[in-house]
Amino acid sequence: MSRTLLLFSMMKKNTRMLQQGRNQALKKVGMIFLGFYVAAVYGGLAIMQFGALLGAGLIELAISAAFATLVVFIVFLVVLTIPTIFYFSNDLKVYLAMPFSPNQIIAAKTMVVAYGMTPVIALVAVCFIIAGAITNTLGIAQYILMTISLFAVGYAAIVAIGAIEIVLMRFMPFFRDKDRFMLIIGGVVSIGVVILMLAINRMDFDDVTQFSSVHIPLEFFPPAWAAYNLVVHPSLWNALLVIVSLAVCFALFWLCTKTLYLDVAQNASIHVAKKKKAKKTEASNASTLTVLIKTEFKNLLRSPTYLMNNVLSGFLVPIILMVSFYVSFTKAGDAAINIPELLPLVLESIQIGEFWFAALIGISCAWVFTSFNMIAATAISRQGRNRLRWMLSTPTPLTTHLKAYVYVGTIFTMINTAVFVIPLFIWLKVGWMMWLGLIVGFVPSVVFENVLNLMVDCYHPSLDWMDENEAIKKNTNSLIGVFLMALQMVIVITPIALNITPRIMVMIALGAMIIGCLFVRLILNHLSKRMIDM
Amino acid sequence: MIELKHVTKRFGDKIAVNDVNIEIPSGSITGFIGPNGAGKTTTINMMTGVLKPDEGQILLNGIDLEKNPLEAKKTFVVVPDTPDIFLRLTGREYCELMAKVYEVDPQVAQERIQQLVEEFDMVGAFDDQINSYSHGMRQKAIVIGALVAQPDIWFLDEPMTGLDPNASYLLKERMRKQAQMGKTVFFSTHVLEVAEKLCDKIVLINKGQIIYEGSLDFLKDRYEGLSLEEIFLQEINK
Repeated sequence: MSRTLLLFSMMKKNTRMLQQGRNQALKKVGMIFLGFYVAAVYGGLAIMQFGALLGAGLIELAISAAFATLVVFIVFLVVLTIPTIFYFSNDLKVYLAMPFSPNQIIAAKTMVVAYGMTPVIALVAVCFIIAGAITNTLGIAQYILMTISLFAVGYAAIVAIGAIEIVLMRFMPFFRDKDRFMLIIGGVVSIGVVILMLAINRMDFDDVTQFSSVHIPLEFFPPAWAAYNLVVHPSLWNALLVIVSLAVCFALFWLCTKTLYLDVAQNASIHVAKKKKAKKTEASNASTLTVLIKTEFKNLLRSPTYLMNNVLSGFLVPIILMVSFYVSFTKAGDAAINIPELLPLVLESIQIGEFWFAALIGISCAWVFTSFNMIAATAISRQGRNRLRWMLSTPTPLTTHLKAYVYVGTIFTMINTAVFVIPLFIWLKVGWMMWLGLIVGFVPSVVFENVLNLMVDCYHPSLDWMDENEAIKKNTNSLIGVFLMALQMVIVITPIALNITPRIMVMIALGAMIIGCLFVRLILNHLSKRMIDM
Repeated sequence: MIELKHVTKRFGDKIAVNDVNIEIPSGSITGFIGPNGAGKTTTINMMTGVLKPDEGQILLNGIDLEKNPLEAKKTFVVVPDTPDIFLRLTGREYCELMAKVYEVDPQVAQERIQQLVEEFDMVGAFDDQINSYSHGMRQKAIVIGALVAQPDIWFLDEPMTGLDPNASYLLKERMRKQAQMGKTVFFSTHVLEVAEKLCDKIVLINKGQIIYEGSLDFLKDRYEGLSLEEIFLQEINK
């Protein structure tokens, strides 16, 4: 056990954030603040969900929802993490060559995953307690029982996913290729998120009883079902059921690791490319900037990690928004409400014309989608230190390299925006004035926002990563990008929502973006100087 | 030609490179040797524009690296110590990128790539992504990319690491050829046998200071009967 703990402590140290810099204390404070900010956003939604159910007297449903939410969160978060850590990490071959048994290695790695998921479990537990405290529906004993059960179910979910993936890797060699695995599972997870959002959007939030229609059967995961029964009907028998189900879960995991893990772990490949016939390509007269842009596109699209975290995650948000609007329009249509006819009246009532409303949409899309695709916010980090050295030693101005990153981020944001806005505007049957307003609002905003995000990454990049996952996951710059976006949205949208000179607010926001664009060259020059000695 | 004049680099209180003066003539192969932490990589990083010296001047073929960085950078190519770069490009795409960056005529670049791919026995793998290559193959791809650019100055940082004997031989032959063509080859290495066989000139660095700069023959005459390894150990331990 002590060797397992030793290995765990080594691995834990290796999971630290990578950001360089001098003031580590300040960075820690910043990280904690960002962590609280993210927790507050997701936690707020969870508190609303639990609070609505508890307040409506649906206590059993609330408890069931807490367990279901936790299990779904854990599944989404660890389904890609576990194979990366168990099979595809660069440190695995190092540990396999050291005097550690496979069980010790896998136990330590599982503890690392559990350590990472502990804040998520704690967040769900805290949200449930807060919701219960607000609605004053549960006793202290139930809170304690609920908290312990949530932690037990959370950790059981991790080992259950681990066991399933060990079996998958053992009996389906197709998945032993890292790139292929990340692509397929990541794609399935993305589709799952969209389906979930569609299901949520179809719900009528005025009628909380219909939550039972999306009640995820806990019977699919026995520890969750047993824990739910224990909290709802505390008894020794139910406690015994929980202990037995957890024990079976852990025992199955232990059996899988003992019998099925080592052989596959030793042979898991990073990527084995098929042999191709050598080909001669046509000589190209494209400019260096064009070639750098194409190189960056290839980097993003060929890496499953960057494809999932940057490209597809950027598409998820507009797809989810589009789905939400589609469902809303359908519901409105069912209620005989004609939204395209209502739109001009709504705009008039909030004293914002078509043009400025569309400009606001353009500005908001630029901000939101740039921060969610994280392409500019992780541009320097994704390249790593070796690529940075290459950039500094080549006879291409650094500003050209930086422009390439800005262009790529801008193009992806443009595509994300098109996915959302074009169907929306077609459904709303908007006139040419709104299309014009959209373009006028979007163009300067997308350029300046990508430059801002790039600036964040240039100021503290994560360069010393071992694999591509670390470049994204161990990088707080994407969170900072989201935070900046949220700050901008709050500053602009709040007065508009309060009907305080909405048109002027949009003009101010657009003016700021245009002025920012005038300084882009200066900013890029400054950033290029900053990159030397990085 | 490479000239370093009174070049110094500090990291906080530590002086990594202290008042270094080096002159590397064209048409030569110079080995840059020193123990771990001596300042080799820092010096090479300064010579290649990755780090900015705190004091001093670096001239590459007479062009001041600080005052005309782009012009100076056109004169050299770097083969880094770790070849883990552009892993999602194929070997061919990487070389085409290098050709574009160093403004090599596209037709000429294609011919050079074809010739070098065959010479380095990378025909079967060159259209696969670099992340599928072994370490040695990645190193070969980086070397091919450097040779496509046909630089006047060639910086190599530990270039033999991970190369099989055949590739190592090819690289050494290429380095000799470059020097015979009047170009400058400057490489750091820990493999002193290679330096002994290949180099015309040796630069020894220890604790950020140059302790010897001169021809290998002169050094060997000074320490008659000793191998370069033994000479190195004596110089370092002085």
